[in-house]
Amino acid sequence: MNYSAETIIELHKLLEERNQELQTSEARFRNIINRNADGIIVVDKNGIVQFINPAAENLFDRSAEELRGELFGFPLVTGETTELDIFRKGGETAVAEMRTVVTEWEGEFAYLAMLRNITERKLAEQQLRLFEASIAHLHETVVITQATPLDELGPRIAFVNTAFEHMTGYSREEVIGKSPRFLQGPKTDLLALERIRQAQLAWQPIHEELINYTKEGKEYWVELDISPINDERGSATYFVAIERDITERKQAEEAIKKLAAFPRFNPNPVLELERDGTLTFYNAAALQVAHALGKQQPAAILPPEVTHLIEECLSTGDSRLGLEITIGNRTLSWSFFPIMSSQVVHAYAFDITERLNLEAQFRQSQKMESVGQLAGGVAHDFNNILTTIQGYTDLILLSDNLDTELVEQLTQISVAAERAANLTHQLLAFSRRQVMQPKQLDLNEVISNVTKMLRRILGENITLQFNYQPSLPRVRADEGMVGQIIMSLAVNARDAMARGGQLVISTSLMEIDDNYIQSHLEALPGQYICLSVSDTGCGMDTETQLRIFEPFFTTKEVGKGTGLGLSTVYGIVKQHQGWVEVNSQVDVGSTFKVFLPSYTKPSSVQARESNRAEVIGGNETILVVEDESSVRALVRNILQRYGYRVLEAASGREALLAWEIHKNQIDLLLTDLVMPGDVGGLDLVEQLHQQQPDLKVIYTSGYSAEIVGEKIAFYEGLNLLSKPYTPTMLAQAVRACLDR
Amino acid sequence: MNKYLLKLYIAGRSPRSERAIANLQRICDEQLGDQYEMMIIDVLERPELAENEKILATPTLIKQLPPPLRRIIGDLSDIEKVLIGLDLLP
Ligand SMILES: Nc1ncnc2c1ncn2[C@@H]1O[C@H](COP(=O)(O)OP(=O)(O)OP(=O)(O)O)[C@@H](O)[C@H]1O
Ligand SMILES: [Mg+2]
Repeated sequence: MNYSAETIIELHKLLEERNQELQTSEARFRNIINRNADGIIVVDKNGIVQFINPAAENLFDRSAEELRGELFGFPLVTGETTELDIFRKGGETAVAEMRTVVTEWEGEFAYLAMLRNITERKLAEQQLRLFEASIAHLHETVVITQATPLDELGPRIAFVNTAFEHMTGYSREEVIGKSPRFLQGPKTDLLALERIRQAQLAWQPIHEELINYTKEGKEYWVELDISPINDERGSATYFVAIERDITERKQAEEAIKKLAAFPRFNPNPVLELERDGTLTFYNAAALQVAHALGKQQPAAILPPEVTHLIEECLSTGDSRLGLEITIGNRTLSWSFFPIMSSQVVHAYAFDITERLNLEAQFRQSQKMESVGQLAGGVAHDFNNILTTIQGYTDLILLSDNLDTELVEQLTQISVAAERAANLTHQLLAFSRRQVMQPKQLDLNEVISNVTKMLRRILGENITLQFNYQPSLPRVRADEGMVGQIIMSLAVNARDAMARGGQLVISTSLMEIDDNYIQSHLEALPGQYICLSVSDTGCGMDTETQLRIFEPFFTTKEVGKGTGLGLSTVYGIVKQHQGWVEVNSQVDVGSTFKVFLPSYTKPSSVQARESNRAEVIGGNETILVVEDESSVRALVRNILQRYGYRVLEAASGREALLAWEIHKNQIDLLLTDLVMPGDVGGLDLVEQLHQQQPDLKVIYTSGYSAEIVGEKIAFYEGLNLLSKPYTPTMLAQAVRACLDR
Repeated sequence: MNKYLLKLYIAGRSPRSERAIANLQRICDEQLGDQYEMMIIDVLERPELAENEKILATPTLIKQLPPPLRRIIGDLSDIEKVLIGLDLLP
């Protein structure tokens, strides 16, 4: 075949062009391959690397020169991609996704493997799986909500984990797309919800504690952290809420709060101290008590040896109970309990002042009671003896033609007996066995009646001041006795104010309530008239105050005081169903307060003034009943001297016998009130009155205990004669009674 | 009869490695009866072996014996391709 030169040239040109084209396209192709992000590697039929692009160089961290000619192996051709672990030069590994195609290399069968580096994607996937697993296994509830719409209902749920399902009882399907509102209920704090909403509007994280409700309606406490989640572009797309069930913690908190209220509201001081004595807790009561005792710090009311005590408690583990300390006029009882686990000591105080006071008062009244019984018993027997002595002495003195010397001596005996009688009289008053003749009295009036005498007793250096409460209710009392009280107290006050001072006597009406009784053992509720005698004298220490009511207790020099003044006051006041209170401070003064019950019962017949007229005798027949033979004999003597006929009986029984025999002759019965045997004075009178209702009776007694509360009204000098009595008194009473 | 000596290089106990091991096990069981010996080499534990063999990527399966030596790369899921690659098809 011949080709023209032209043709050849033409062909050549064509070939050139083709070559050119080919080269251009190969360059283009190479360019593409070189710039490809995926690694490309060509392996020949022996598995040897023939070509490698820059991306693959990167992937293997080896240069094309290093790799070309290396044995790579046959990349398996499959329809799918396979994942490979790539060993980089540095020793790290990378993950690549390989896709292999069969190709041709320099005219031979070859493989072309495309390798895409998916290390980061794999890592991200792995992390994601880890997160997923973590969230799935989390004990905390995870709720992811969409950031929009943020309308009234709040964000809608996009995801909840298994813990959420367990905790709430709702399944995932039930809640996706809903607002978490359905978890809330009546006790959910609306303010907290509003705070959450505000935080979400501001794309801010927030921490809250809320009450939520399970599907079954059971409430539980959650602590939740809500955070906005931003996407790559930084805008919030979701909220993640992590919720922990804190019901138990809340319950524990509640329990702790409740327990904490115990010491806080305890009306007694409660303190907590550390080993070195540091105060770590005190309640309001502790501060209050401290302030009341004039201390600034609660620690100041602790016992002085407190650090030593704490040390002891903590090293032994033993508590210390009932440690008493006195601050000012209060006494606190402290108890210390070591709390070993926290190495602190809890201290509890209790103000026992009132209790101690009551105990002291009780001991005091017990003592007075027994001393009173003793004194009374002695005085009672004494009275019988004195009645005999005085009676016979007076009886002899009544005789005519007596030797003047004898008269003198007998008078001495009589005076001595009278003094002794006065003493027993006082003792009896103390032991409340003095015969009392109560009347309705205006205490203010009684005081003003004795004022003149008072002024005389007090002297010039003492000013006397009265403080009457006007129109006082009356008291039912023996005027003489009340006068005696005022005088005794005034004389004591005078003695206490040797260098002068002020004496204030006041009266007031007082309503004694249960509260008052709490702290005053002897007090009784009701309306009382208080007579107060207050001086600015030397005062008394506590020890003296405890003893002043004892008979014969005196601090005065021998001969000046007998120590019976206050005993008498005590006895009289007791006999009037009242009580005495003392308040005294050394060198400041003393106040004695006498409480007498106000009289509210209707007024009864007033005792007629006994007639002090001349003593007249008579010839009537008198039955004398008296167990004490000497007294009986004396009475017989006296009465016979006044011309009366006397029948005697030593007991109630004997009297009944005598009555049987002489009943028509007896004009008057003179009987002792208290006698041994089964028929006492009152029984006797009752029996005789059944037979002769108008039988006249005079009781004799030194013993008023039985008189108190009896139905019969006794009037001294009319139907009652208190021992010791003089022959004149006896004769007067007998005549008065017979003439009534 | 010639015994086969097969070495499988893997990198750690990843799902990829597990898949490759399982596939190889199946191929051997089905195709080679008890006429084979199989070694699994974790290159993360024995990097020096990988270095010696110039392993560039795993899973790499090497048929050491009988000759010719063959080396294939991939997860061995396509049995037929594996058999071809290992020169095992009759
Ligand atoms: N107003 C007072 N101020 C200070 N001490 C008092 C006061 N009143 C009583 N006392 C004390 O109480 C004691 C007993 O008093 P009380 O009246 O019983 O006996 P007295 O005054 O010593 O003797 P008497 O009253 O029998 O003459 C007194 O000795 C005195 O120590
Ligand atoms: Mg006195």
